[in-house]
Amino acid sequence: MKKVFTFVSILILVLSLSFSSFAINIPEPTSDFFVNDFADVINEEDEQEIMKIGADLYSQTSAQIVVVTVDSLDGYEVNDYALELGREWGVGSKETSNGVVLLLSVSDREVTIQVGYGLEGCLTDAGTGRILDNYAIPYLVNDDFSTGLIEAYKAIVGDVCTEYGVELNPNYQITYDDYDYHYSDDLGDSDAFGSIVLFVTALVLVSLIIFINKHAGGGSDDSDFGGGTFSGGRSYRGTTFYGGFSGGSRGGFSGGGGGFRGGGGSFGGGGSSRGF
Amino acid sequence: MKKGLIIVIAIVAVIAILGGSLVSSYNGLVEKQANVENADAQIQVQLQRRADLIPNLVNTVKGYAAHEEGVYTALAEARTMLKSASTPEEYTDANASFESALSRLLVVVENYPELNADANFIALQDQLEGTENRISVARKDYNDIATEYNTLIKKFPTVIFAGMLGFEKVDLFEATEESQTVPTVDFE
Repeated sequence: MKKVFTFVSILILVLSLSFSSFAINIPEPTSDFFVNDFADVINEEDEQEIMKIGADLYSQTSAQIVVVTVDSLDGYEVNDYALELGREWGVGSKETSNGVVLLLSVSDREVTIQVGYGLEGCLTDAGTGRILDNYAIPYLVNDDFSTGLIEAYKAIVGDVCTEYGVELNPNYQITYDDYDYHYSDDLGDSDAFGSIVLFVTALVLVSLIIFINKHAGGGSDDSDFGGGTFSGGRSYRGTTFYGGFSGGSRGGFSGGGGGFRGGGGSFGGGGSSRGF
Repeated sequence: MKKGLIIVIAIVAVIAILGGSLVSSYNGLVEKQANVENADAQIQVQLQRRADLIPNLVNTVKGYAAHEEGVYTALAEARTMLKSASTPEEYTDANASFESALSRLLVVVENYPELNADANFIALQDQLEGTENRISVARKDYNDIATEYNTLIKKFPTVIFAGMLGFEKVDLFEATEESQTVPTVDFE
């Protein structure tokens, strides 16, 4: 019986193990989501303008275009960094991956536009290269990061608007509804649920085995727990294995108290970058 | 008597768990294997995409560097090889000669400063660079998924039957020195 206990415990342990890895240490998104000025180079006015445009576009199309500034890329290639960031934050919707990351590293003096799978048609590599050359670089070379980024942002948004056939409202006001809209398409819940089911079932199973073990060892016991053991086995089979094998799941987004978050979009390396 | 019953129940429970694990592990393996195949297909798509960019690139470069015939011929041959490759080995070979021809082209390009200012060339260069990124992303994704699959088939209890059911370890894409450095599209 001890052996059975050990065996089943090891089995549960092995099956519970899952792994995921992000090599690059990506910062958490701010609650503004569309503007993440970690390097503090965008002025307040431009930040608000970007927020307004970003939220308006998002509410109309579900496309998410985010601006990120960092002090340093920690030695990573600018495209890799932006791609990993876009994936980890889940920029764009899960269904269409209509996200764009505009990333600037101040100390590396590099800028990139990474385009989610769903927008690769309207923002081609050549197109994003042109946007950087025409709208961002002329300002970035003079250290006017704020203007360079907002101009590039507007150009990207312009292309996305054309793709969706929408027009932005110049007087758009971010309302509480925008936040609600965002929260309605939560993701990662099923994964969390799976983990809880796994944990609870494992707990029940282990307790049952300990129970059986104890009673069998003692020699005297109650007669009516056979059904319980069976249902434990069944529920384990029915649900938890899927939880255990659903590896590669994206971790939950820690958006904090309120604000916008990613919708689960993914990226495949489309886009362009420039040094300046 | 009761003790015997408990032992029987415990054994049955363990069998039920193992049986259940067999079914769901098998399904999990099938799913993972399909993911690996899909990831592999993604790499091929991007390699194809790169090959398709080449005629345009060559035409643009030719406008500035007409007499570099050797490079164009090498590229055209490698591209034909790539298009007609049918086995994975042929494909790897064709891709290697393609990459080496492409890197030669990009060296040639450096000798023509006017070319680097050509809007058409800049656009093609962006496309090429984007495609290179996609290739490396696709390879990285493939490796992640293949590692997951390879780990899974070696895990207990899957390892007991994975081999019997024909789930075999897949090769990872190893970044050769050549594929890491070639072709660079960064002109200083």
